[in-house]
Amino acid sequence: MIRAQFIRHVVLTALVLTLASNFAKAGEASGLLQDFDSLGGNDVLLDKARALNPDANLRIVQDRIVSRRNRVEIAPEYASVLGGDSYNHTQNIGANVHFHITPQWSVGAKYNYALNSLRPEGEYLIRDVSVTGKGMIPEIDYPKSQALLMVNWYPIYGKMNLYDLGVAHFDVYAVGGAGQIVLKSGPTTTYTAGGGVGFWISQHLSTRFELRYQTYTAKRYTGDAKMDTTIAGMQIGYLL
Amino acid sequence: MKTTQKIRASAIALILLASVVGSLKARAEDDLLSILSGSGAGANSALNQAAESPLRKLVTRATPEQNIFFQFVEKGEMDKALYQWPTAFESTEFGKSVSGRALNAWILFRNGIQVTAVEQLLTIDKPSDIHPEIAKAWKESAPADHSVWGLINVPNWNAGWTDVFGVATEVRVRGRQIYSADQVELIKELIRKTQLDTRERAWLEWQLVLNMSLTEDAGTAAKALAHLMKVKNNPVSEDLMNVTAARLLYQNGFLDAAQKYYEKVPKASDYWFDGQEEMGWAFVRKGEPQNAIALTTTLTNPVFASQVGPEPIFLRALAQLKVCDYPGVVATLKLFRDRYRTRAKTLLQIAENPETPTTTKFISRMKTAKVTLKELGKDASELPRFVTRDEVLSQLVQIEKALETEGKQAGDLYSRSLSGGTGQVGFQARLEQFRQSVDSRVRSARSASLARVKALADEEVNEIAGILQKLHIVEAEVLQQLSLADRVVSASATKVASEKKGTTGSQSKDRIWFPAENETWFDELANYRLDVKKGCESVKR
Repeated sequence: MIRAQFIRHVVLTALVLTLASNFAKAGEASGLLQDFDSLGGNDVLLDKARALNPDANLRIVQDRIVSRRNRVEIAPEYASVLGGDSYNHTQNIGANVHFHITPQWSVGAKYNYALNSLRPEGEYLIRDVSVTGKGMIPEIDYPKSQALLMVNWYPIYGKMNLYDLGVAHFDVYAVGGAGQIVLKSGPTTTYTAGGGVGFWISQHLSTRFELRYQTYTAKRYTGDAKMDTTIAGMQIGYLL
Repeated sequence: MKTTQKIRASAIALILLASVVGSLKARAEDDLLSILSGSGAGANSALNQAAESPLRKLVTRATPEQNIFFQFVEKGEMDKALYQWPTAFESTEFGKSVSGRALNAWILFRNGIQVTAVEQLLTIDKPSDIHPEIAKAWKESAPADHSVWGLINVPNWNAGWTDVFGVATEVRVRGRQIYSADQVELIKELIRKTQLDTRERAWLEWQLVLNMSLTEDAGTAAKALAHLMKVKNNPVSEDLMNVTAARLLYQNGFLDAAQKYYEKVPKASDYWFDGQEEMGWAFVRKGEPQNAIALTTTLTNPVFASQVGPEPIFLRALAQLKVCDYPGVVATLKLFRDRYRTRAKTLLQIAENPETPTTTKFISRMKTAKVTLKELGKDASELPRFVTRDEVLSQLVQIEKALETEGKQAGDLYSRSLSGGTGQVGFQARLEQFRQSVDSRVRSARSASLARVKALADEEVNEIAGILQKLHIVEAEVLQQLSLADRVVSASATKVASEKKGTTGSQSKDRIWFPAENETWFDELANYRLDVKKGCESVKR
């Protein structure tokens, strides 16, 4: 009888303790969650200390994704010449070699081979027999090839998100150069200046879009003619 | 004369014939005897061409059933040997002896029931009494580098097993058992037993480093760690060693040196967040709260919410308080409230019932390969933070996996026994019983894994509750300082504005700068730098 009472007592005690423990746990849990609600609710007092607020300047300081210090870039190029001779259209194919001294400066060389074709005006002149009874061949001192030494300055940098596939840094740069252009009449000096954007796609791949002014002197029957051309080009480069 | 010669010749021929027949008969009798006695090459050559098992030496006079058993062993038909075991040995003295139990366990082991077999073997009290041939068979089957030694659960290692399996095995089993900080001497004793440049020695040295760092012997721990970092055959990850080295240096007040080690941890490492956070504490102790704020800008980013603990938020609030950035402190307090209220709720649910679909999925993934924090992805928000690098959980999951394999193997053996067993009946029931016992162990192992997940959830809830209390203190401090703001304003009005320049972010000479905006670019994380002017001062700009 005593034993049965003892067992009942033990069972009841265990039950009470279990329930109490469960309630305590539930209480602790709800207490913890309630404790969160009272945090951070005193912002109304912040105006009192506005004068003490610091001037904080948060910036991002990061490495260039593609390091260009002391690196060589070899870049085949395609360019189209805008302006220049009215009867002739020139397209250049060639290659560039850039040596990047620092991320801000690079020097290099450019060689272009010229592909010439008549513009519609030139073709019309040849076919037009209404004036002299036969077509006239326009006088064109077209370019054959050119070689220049170039300097690039990259003062502005930025970055772009490539459709969430990655981030590519780019530089906006100024370019200047001088060299020799071989015309139909022979070689002559040429100068160029312009600007472009270079995208550093990966550690070895680059792309440049460039717009340059280029000048040289062509020969005509009537004398020398200063040629002012604009060259729009694209380069796809490989960084060694 | 002729007749006599003929008779003599016939007699000689008969004698010769008789001797030839006799010798042939004797050879045949020899073979038969050797087969029946179970000894000699004849038994094998005549019956199965297999090499005679040295295990035959275990019984002096083998019964026919025992002979069948040994023949199965010799042919490598271990499943049949297992089926044959009960009829061959169960009711014999040998079956109950130490060697018999070891042989039974070995047969199980060879049938792929490895964890169970080894644990069964290690219940033997006197390993020295095991017959040398069985001990040899065990040693060959379970060398020190066998995976089973990393999976068994043995409360106490009997020194007699070291004689059987070698020191390397002892170290593998006992090395895993060491967790408490008062066992430095035990570890040193084990180290003395190991060979130089072995994985076992490196692992024990690592245990020594951990234990000594817990017992305030940081100097010796650092020396041991420095040595360990040079060891080639080292099972401890380099990142963990770097973080530990940094912690030891931090503990001793070498904050700059500690930061150098924290910086060695790569971003891809699971320890990177810890390294960054602890580096932040070093900045606070160096009086550079602006750098701590810069570091915690990354750590408190929403994308890392489930991977970073609550402490960086406390660190950020404290650092902001040190530069009197009160709006910043309040924003950080709100961030903690919004983020960790939900997190605490999720963790409380896991602690109440750890068997959630996400937990089950995670455990299944862990069985195939180690899962990193990064690989968890969205699931990280529904799991305790340390699940990916908890050694105990990893161990339990591997045990569960091994036992599951054993369960399948036991089921397979059972189904094959129905058609491929011996002529005896009744042993299937024993095998079925065994299969059920393995299944029950699998369920226990799963429960143990879930219990560990629950413990991790509880631990994290406690951590959150602790940080919540600390943040309440920070909030009280803000209110205290705000009440004194007028006095500070008037006292500092004539001072020259001080500036705290940040030093975090890239240190490269070709670094580039961008303004920090609300939009998060992933490449910018961990590259923040903060300059603070006139913190806690009311001066004109």
